[in-house]
Amino acid sequence: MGNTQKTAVIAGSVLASLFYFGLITHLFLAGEIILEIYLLLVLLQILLSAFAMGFYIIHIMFKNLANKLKFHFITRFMEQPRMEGNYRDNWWQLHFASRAYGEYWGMPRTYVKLQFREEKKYNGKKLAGYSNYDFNGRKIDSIQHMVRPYKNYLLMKVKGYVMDKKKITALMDFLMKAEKESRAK
Amino acid sequence: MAEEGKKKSKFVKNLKYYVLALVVMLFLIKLNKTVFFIFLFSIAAYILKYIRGMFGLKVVVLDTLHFSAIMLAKFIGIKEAIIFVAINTLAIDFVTFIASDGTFANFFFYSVSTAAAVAIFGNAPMILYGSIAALMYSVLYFIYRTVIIQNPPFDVISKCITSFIFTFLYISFLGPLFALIMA
Repeated sequence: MGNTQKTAVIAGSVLASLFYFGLITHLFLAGEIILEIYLLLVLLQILLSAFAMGFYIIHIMFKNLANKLKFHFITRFMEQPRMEGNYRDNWWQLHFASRAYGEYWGMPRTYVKLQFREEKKYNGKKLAGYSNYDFNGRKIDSIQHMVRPYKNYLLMKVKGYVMDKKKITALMDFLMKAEKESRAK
Repeated sequence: MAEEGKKKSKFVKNLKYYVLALVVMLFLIKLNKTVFFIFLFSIAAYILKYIRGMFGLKVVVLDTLHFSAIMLAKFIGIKEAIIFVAINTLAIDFVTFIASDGTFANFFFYSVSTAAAVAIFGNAPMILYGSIAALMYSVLYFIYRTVIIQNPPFDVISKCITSFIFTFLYISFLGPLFALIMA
């Protein structure tokens, strides 16, 4: 989103919020609504504003991580954050998911993807050895080889959101090491 | 197209349950005020906990359990409030196979904090006994999760603080409305 568009959205949200607050206060002062209903409407505004701000702050945190890694942020606000870029001459994608495909929500995961355009083959048994792996106190669910029409990649699912640059680069280094060790001979 | 059809039929299926729940609630208003409020608060607690779960939040955000217990204790009765807490902690956790020592601890802390605050300070303004109940729960939870079972301090403190903040928010903004309805 361009800067002008972003500023317009933020300004619009603030104005809408002020308008809403002004309207309900006017209705209360004019005796159209009782105090209890007024308080309920104020609580609604507080909760919605807090959620919107929470989402925005988390979005900014992910964008900062992308800037630190010099990765390109490829999703929009409120979408599951994804960023792509180069690290140690490899093509990477980081995807911050809140659920696995087809599963329930509420399972924050960091998907670290080491991507290749050329076809790669890996030893499935060696990759399976990384299931429920403990890496520096952080749990790695699994490392899988995924094949798509235009690319194939090693997908490492890590529990929680990893937003620290050092920790994420450590995970990427670990995945590169696992990739080398798991290549099919 | 097939997926959209699937989504629509799932929505229609769920819609029937929502309508049924609404009809049951409307009957309960007439039949039994206590059961109506326990039913209403239980549904609200479940829905909001589910929404919280969607975001994978461990902190206490949106949870109305303690607020509901305080309202029930003040305007219906302490016994009814304890029954409500038992349904929403013990019963639900056992039915969904996630019961643990934390389940019993939660039941005890919610019941004790609600009963003590309302019994001792029930004649004071709502915001006072509500805040005392919220603070009591947070303190008991903190002691339990740091002294008895040691959890990461950051997780425990954030849960204590958010639990207090949300109960206080609900007491301040929703309390007067429910006092009007339930009194």
